[in-house]
Amino acid sequence: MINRRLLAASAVFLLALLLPAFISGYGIRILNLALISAIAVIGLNFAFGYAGLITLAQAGFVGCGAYITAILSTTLGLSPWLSIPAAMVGAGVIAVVIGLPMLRLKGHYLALATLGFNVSFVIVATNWKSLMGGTDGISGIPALALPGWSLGTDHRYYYVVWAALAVATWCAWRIRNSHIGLAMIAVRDDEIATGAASVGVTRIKVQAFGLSAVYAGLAGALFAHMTNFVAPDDFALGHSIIYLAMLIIGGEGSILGAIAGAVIVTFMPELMRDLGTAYLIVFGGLMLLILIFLPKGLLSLTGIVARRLKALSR
Amino acid sequence: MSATILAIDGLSKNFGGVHAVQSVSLAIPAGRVFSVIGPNGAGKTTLINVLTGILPSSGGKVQFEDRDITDAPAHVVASAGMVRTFQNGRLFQRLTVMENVLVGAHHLLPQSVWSAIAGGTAARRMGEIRERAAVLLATLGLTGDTDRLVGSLPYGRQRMVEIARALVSKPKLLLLDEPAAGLNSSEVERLRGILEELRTQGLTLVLVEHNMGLVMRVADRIAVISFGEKIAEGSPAEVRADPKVLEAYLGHGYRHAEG
Amino acid sequence: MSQQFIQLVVSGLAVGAVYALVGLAFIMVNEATGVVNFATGQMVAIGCFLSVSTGIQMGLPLGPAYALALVAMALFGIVFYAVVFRPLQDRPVVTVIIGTVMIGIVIQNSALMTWGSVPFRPRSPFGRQVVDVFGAAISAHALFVIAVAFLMIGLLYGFIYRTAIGARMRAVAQDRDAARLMGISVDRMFVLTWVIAGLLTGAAGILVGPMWFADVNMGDPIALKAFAAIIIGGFSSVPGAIVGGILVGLAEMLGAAYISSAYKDGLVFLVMILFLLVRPQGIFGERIGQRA
Repeated sequence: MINRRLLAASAVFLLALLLPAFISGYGIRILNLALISAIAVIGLNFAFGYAGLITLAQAGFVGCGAYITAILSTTLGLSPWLSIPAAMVGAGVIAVVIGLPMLRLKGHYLALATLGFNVSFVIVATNWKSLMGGTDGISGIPALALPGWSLGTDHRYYYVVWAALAVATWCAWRIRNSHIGLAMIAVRDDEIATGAASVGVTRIKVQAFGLSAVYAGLAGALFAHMTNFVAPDDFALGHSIIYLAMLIIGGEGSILGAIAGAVIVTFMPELMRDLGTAYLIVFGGLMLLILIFLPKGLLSLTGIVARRLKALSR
Repeated sequence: MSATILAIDGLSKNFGGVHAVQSVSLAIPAGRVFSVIGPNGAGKTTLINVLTGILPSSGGKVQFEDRDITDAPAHVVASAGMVRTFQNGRLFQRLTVMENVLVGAHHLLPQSVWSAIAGGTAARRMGEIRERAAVLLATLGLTGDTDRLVGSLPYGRQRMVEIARALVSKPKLLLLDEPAAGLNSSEVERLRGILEELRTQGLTLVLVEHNMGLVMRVADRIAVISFGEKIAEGSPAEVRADPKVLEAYLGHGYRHAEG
Repeated sequence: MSQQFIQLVVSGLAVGAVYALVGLAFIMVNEATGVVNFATGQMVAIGCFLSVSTGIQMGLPLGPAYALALVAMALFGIVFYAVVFRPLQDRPVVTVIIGTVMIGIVIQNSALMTWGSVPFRPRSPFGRQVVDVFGAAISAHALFVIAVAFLMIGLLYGFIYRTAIGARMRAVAQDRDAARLMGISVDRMFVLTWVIAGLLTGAAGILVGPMWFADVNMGDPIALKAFAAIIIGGFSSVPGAIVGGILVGLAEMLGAAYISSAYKDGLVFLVMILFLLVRPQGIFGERIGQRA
């Protein structure tokens, strides 16, 4: 199913490979963070964008992934190439286990239950000093490496993150166009009709939730091996809300929207640092304006621009 | 006399003090069109909702093809081969016509996320289902609309999409909840043709309807529900002449005027 | 031992009263508009800072200082309505919620710019006075908090259930369209709701400041525990918010002392999650029934 959107997205992805030549130092670090967040937000898109589950747990799952890989690669000395997949699976399993009871809840009740999970995760991470290091966190997390070639610099790590995002995007696109993706979207649109059409609604919700956690786990693991250090505050509730904001601002229900939102929301405060202390105020205000004037998110701008160009060319 | 494909035995549904369905028993014969009629608020839609697992029952038994499906969840009932359409239609607004239809075939495909990514069997089977869906949509007059969002279709064609979604999984019994509601006369005529074609193909149809013209012309057998109870059952001619039925629709006075 | 117990109970009631006020602010807005206001914590912080400004920076005596701060919070509620809620009114709930988050960021950083990041301890009108209650030395301020909070809740209750305007607010909460058809100005009721939310959060901020300390981040843990309180008490229930707030406050104080200081917050959220799974309607809420 080749279409224009797919071609455009592929082109952007390929061009993005050239970015490290133009950006340096701090910029690459931010870029890596943006792409890592994008993976988490694509995950969130399954649960919220498609299936309509209001989840405030995403940062908690990112934290699960980060801590699992941190513990496995430091305490057990496992190679990151093994501990990262383990982190993804671990986060997914945790999500399924808590999802089975929680996903019976709907609307703001589900939101609050997932909020409770995220908050509890931070509390446990802060207090379980022996396993998770408490407020000091876990440091000395090894960088990724290929035989004879360290991937420890931000520049080199960019290609790792780029590859992970590319695979994550491709998988998400496959899922979206499969019967699983359709069922997730249907569940949000009309849960009753979805059940009547032979979709096990609880199962699909758990799958969406679990999938979002697997993606979050990957993001967390990549984060851990980039910063070589994890601490509870990186996975606090506020980050879950920011992921949700990234998705809505970029365009919920859209994989590209998830990526766009993550990039914009990560970069914008950085671009505005020159404004001094007020930069977060401007950022918050700008986000509010986007919410008000672009109800379908930033990605809808491409549609609006395309239509205007079409009208002009007549 | 054909075999009973759906046996409803003493089915009841209460909402607090309201007895919406009171001990209804029906034996739906396979391969025929069975219609359920009755005045507004009689409990017909509630009956369908309980049969298809959307509402829990308050008593009684339901057997589909010798399998007890009482209070089975909605998706289990649909996977077993008994599907339904909704009054006023319930479609997935964010999906296209084709995608809406494909959701109906969900249980025919492997249920794991991995199969969706990896392809192989799932992709092949999906291809077959897509072809089947395309044929269905063509039969129902929707070929040009396949990739349009359902919301952009006129009402009559949206109802057709719902029927296609129900049929894509090759069910054995189709429950239709007021499919003629909101259709103009040519659309109703088209619907009649479709129902008769489906019956020829061996599908069992249960038709809840208000449009008496349609019912009298397609139904092989009719049951009449009033205030949650079955008050009459028989061939169209028998039901039409039954004084209890006339009384249920027209009120008490009619009986006295007649006799 | 029992002296400590009495002190803990009174502190628990005081902090619980604050949670109840904040919980009520959540409930009022949620009932009327369906929105969960994620900037509530920031509003609490602003309430506290405003009282410091009026009291210390403007040099007013505490009574008028507090009153002025409350008036400012009421106006703040109106601004909030106009800037966040009104433009996003017809959007999906989650979009509005993210809108409140964004405005929360704006508020928090404006507070940071205005008052700086150094935490401080606002003065209580009772200074450090203690009162003898059953032989234990109880902070007079804690008793003041309990008294004022319950007074405000009583006034709110009277306003909502015994006045004509309150009846109109309840009508809008129950069925917006029907209320509109009956000639009730829904917009005005929304404004009123946000004004009340401003007053409640402002009062909470003013009361809680002298009990702990004030800094720009003070509102977040308070809002979170208020969430837990209304879940436990019952999400749409006024008595639920009160009982839930008290339970959370007591659990926090007693739990910290007798079980574990570190995990005291975890205890509260564990109870909240348990309620969500076992009895989501909370203690006083109505059963979430089956759909017909």
